[in-house]
Amino acid sequence: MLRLCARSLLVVFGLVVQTGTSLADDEDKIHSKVRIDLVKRGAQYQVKVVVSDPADVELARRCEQREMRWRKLLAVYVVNSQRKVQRVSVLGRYARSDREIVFTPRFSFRPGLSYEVHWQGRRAVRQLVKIPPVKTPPAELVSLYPSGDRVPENLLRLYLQFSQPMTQGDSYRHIELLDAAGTAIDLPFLEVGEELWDPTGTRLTVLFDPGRIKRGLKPREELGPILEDGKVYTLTISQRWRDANGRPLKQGLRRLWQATAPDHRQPAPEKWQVNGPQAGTRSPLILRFPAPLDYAMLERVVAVVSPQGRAVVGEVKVDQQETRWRFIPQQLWQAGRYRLLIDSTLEDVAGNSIKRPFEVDVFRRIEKREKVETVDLVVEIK
Amino acid sequence: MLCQSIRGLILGMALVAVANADLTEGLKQGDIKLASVGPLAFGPDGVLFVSDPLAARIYALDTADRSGDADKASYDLKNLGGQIAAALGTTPREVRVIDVAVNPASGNVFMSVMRGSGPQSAAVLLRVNPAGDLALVELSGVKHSHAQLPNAPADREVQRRGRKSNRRTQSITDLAFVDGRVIVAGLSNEEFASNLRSIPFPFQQVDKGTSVEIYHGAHGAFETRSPVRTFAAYKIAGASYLLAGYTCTPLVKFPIADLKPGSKVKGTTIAELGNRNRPLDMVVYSDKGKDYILIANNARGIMKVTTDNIDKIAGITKRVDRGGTAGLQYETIKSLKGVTQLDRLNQSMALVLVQGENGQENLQSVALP
Repeated sequence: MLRLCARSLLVVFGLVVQTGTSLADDEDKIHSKVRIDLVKRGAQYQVKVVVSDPADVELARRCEQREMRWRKLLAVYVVNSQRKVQRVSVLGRYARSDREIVFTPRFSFRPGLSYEVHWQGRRAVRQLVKIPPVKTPPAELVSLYPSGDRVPENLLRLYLQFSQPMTQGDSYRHIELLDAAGTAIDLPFLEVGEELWDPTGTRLTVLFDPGRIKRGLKPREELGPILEDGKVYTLTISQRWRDANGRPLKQGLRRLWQATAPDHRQPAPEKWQVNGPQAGTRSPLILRFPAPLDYAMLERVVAVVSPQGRAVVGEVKVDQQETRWRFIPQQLWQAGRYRLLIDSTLEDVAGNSIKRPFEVDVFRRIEKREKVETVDLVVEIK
Repeated sequence: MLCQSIRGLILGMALVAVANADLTEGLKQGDIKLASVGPLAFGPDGVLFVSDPLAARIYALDTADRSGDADKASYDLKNLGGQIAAALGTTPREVRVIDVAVNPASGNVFMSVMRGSGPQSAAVLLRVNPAGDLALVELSGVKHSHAQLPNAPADREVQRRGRKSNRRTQSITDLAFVDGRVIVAGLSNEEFASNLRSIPFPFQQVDKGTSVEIYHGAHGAFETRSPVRTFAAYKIAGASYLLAGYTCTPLVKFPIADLKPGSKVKGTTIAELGNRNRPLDMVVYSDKGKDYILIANNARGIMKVTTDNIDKIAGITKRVDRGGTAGLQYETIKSLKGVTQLDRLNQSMALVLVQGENGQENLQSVALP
């Protein structure tokens, strides 16, 4: 009924406007006015369109009733850095409430990016909207593991720890290994398409090409080893690496490495030094290793068990170039026999684990612990 | 008459068998929430296997995409990467096409895509048809089931600044549906180990599948356990084999029947594919009565590998001379450059995602060489 009235009014109005052209144009503009705004709901930006022309309202109603496609009436397009409007419209949800239509993108609009909103109602309207950029400081490379400046020539793995999530997909472009003459070494890393990021997107695992570490494999036969004992190398991380918000790193990094003899020995917990704290304190329980172990695994694979057989909750700290592991309990230590349960998957920086060495020479007898899942160390706390 | 009845009976039995064999049976309606998305693989009946590496899950999803004819499908979609970015409301740099799979039941192409990175990223499944219509694959209220992979051999959460966290992830490098089993290859961001899992389908509630380690002798003296990058199933003398392309080593074959719980499987090196090279995708096809393996590589382009003597080959255990090749023979298809994704479209065509010189990603069907 209301809609009918509105339509009658329009007809009447139409008759009126026949009488004077200039007046008619002005009135037409007023009545077919389309207002397009960028609005924020929670953390999500939306496009709000308010129409006044009943014909536009009717078109929106038809879209709502699925008599026509929303995209034909209202579409949002990405505008790229060359100010070119893309041909494919942004996917999203549409909601109408009387004269108001709200477009919510299926995936949040990207901060700093511009979008062009196209209204194809009674009048065609185009309007540019810009999503405000994020105002947080650019990401930093916080640490690089192994953190020491001496690495075995069969070094397997690096960890890069950033302060914020980084862009993914072209990481290897930003990491270079230079020889003593400053020449980049050809393909030193295993470029895994999936890129080995942690769930937070702030830590990247970079593997040296195992084909050039393991003896007897074709890449090593033809290209040679990546690092050689006695030589000096520089690892560089480009400042141009962008964080998830699209900004370059605060600064790049250059780390000088001295390559040492290859390490084929398995980590042996029985050779570790254990420092038990005093009962009644929260002093750290300390493990010292003769050679650096894998930073990430040290944070995860050593569990402390109380004399009652319960897991002790606490915080792990790894330092001194990954040769020291410290555990600070939440509760005070009690007197008694604590156990340290160490997963036999724990590796050193060359990929040798407690369980087995990185590569097996079938002609050489090696102490293997293939079947062992954990190794126990007992700590008497007094 | 009798003959007709028997024929009818046989036909009836065949229909029942077909109905029973429908892979969508047992899939339950519900919502899928992807934390991430990795490789894809199609089974029959429009069932798509979708990997979610962050959640360590494999979903079996009924795409209900069964109309269309893969034999008649052809693709020539320019700047598909740009179109995907536009539809997802962002720039091409923000979008990564992780995998591309052809639905043999329809000829439509499904793509796993990550938009953005870090906690703000979104995992997206898209479908595109030969006309170039791009659509999101609906993930709510869809028939599906899933298998949960154990995240780590001894997975423990640790305390970091008073909060629990576990930063280990299992990247999934390839996925396939072979003889009623889903085979998953993975690579951890922490400990170094080849992880190949064989999970029976339909997924059982608690069955986490079989985890095996694949060893292969290289030059006689050393055993390696490198991660498998990509693989394809192939029948040799009636037995199913996996042909596995390694991240750093050659092409290896091993029998699927050997994938048993707790087993240590030793593969046979059947080809050396050259240095500075990593396989990306692999398909097997027949041409004029002969079988070939087509391998897309990151540096050495597309290789067409013959399967002549694949059953007899003893394995490469001796040093291959500088620049030489060994094992199965192959030729490099020079006309195909910049291929980042490869799947089989039908009996005579392959589907490729190609990165052009201008950086644009184009989806094309090409004749199998």
